[in-house]
Amino acid sequence: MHELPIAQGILERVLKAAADANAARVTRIHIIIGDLSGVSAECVEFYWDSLSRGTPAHGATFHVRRVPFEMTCLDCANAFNPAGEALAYDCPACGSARVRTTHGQECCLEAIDIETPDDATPGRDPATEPRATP
Amino acid sequence: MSVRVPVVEAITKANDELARLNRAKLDARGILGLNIMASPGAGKTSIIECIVPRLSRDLRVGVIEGDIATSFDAERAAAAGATAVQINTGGSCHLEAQMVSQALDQLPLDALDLLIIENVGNLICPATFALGTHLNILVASVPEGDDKPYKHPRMYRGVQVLIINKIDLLPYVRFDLDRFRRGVSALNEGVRTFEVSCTSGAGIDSLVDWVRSEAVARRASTARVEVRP
Repeated sequence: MHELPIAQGILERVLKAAADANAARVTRIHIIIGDLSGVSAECVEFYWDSLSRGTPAHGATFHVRRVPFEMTCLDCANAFNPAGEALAYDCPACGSARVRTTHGQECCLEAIDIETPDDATPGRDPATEPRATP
Repeated sequence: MSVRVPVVEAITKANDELARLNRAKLDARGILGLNIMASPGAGKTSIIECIVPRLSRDLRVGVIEGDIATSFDAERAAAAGATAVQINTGGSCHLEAQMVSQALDQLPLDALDLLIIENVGNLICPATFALGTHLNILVASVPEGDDKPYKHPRMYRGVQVLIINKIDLLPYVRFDLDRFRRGVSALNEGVRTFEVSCTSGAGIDSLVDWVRSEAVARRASTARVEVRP
């Protein structure tokens, strides 16, 4: 349940970035989440609806780039994902126990997609708006 | 038309900033901060009970106890000789920097040399939230099993010190110390490790000596900063 404070933190940051960019609405939030980060994107999204209600970020969808757990062997440079393996972190290529975690701890906000006031006036749909005649 | 605005920063940034403020409060007074994490029942409070009476001979020790409910652990830490504050998280499965900040306000920081924070028993969430301590310590215990470094890689990666507790039970439970150590070493090579038993007292001496020397070094480094012109 630690995604609740994380979702609150993301919301705060997203609203600030949206205000700085003079956004009328936030449509999409891009985040990067590694499998080792201990953060569940699904849980963050679950809290989002109620947390963001009444803000320009309500209704935004999440684009999540998942980064798998990756280790790299120091002896043969083989990169592998140890998740799901037997209880071992040894290199599957050469058997070495000299390995390093190279990916999976990532956990960051990357970007937001926004609409500016011009294209998101309530009750107006830019697609059907009559074009000004030249 | 939709516009993409880059906002590149850590998802935990809000907590990280508060953690930095906590760290500054400790650093201003030369207090060494320890964050002890473990699963429930690994022996976090028992270790505090073992080491505080001996550390208290030379150091003024404060303890912040994090639990979902009750103040049993703060009472145990106080009985061991520490100035203790209990945080009840009311259901939250981990401590956050904000909670620690409030607890720091209740402690006589000017009269402390060492602050031990006992996190909520949990091997997942505490690893995500920095508290502002100098060292993260993980307590693993033999009855939990030797598979924990493989099941909770994040927690094992994020600590500077590992205490293996209940080593007196090694003859009675299935725990392959070699497999455990290999997993730890793959994730966190060179992590400082202590093997202890709060029941038999094995290994407690070296743990106490190490904590004392770290606290003394921390205090000395602050003193040096203060006399600088």
